[in-house]
Amino acid sequence: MQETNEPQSSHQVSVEDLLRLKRHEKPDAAYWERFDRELHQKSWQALAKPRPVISIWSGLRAFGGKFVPALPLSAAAAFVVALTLNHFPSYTATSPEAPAYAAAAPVSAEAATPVAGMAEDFAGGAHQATFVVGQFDGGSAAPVGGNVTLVAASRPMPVETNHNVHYVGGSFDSGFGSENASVLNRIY
Amino acid sequence: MSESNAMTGALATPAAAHAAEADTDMALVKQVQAGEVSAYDKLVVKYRERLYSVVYNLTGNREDANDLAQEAFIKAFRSIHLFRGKSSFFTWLYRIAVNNTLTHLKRNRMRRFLSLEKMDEEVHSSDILEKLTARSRSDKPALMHELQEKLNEALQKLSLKHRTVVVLFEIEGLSHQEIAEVTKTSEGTVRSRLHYAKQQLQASLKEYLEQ
Repeated sequence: MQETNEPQSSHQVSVEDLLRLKRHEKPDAAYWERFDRELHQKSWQALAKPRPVISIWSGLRAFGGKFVPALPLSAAAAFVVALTLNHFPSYTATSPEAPAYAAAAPVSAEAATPVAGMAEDFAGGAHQATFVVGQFDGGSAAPVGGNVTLVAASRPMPVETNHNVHYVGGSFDSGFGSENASVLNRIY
Repeated sequence: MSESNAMTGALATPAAAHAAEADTDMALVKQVQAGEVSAYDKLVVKYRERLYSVVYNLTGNREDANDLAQEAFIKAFRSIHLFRGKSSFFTWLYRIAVNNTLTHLKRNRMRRFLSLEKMDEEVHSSDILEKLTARSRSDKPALMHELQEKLNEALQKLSLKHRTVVVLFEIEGLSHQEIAEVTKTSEGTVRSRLHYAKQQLQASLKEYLEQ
């Protein structure tokens, strides 16, 4: 941006002068809150939405780069098979003592067959972990269709690997006011 | 204190500021690549207005701009593991946004209408608007409204490749080199397209340019 495409000192009006007026066409500050909220919803939906195998793989890499290559081959294969069949069960586990992501760690790939996106609810203090498989609306904290429950995380969660659980990250609006929450999904 | 000392710690030149910005972006990109998703939010906040502006000025439609700018951020997020820093993050992001927008415009050639943003308050103190008002019978708000429509119509008459360089150079303030990187063309091509586009715009907007 070092070049001189800035106003010339002239009494004439140039095309450049007119075009520069377009820099004043912009949304007001309030618009950006809505923009961020929608972006988070769309990001989350894009993560959850079933896609062709190749793009899913690249999507997972995008969300969790370094962890994806460590996916167990059997889990990855099961994941691909399930997506091909477009069969998405849901699975729920509850632990009153420990944070949900720790409590859920022993759940095997078989139990959460074949891949689970996980969200946690810290807002209610119940530490309920809900494993969500399939597509859902990231923009609401209300239950969405069938057995699929959307639970929003009220705070960002760390990215880590633990108990052979692989995390991929996404973020979306928590649905609890204007706060944006980050959420991590588990890939077993 | 010598001049060089006075500059120590400050970003003395635009190039230095540019390099520092690129370093900051790269650090955030590396955090995202390592799985720290919240770092991407910082990049979104940093570039959302500029990215929206590019898309809005290419489409002349604020609803499309909203969707396309968001799509660009999602596409960039999905591909961020591929970003290696050969170009700056912002030219890479602009390239995604521009390509995405051009694809949308090509697919929807027949479904074009303007949906314009309001001009901000600062425009009222613009010298250009003062000059135009002085020689016009219209009052400032009416002139501003008319000019906004004419400007957008003139831009929309340009071919996509010519519109792209005009928007990136004259409105967004990118350099020829940066535009060449974004559009994957040579600087010579950028200059040539810019020259031709301005000729077209001069013809479309001549009523405002004549004294």
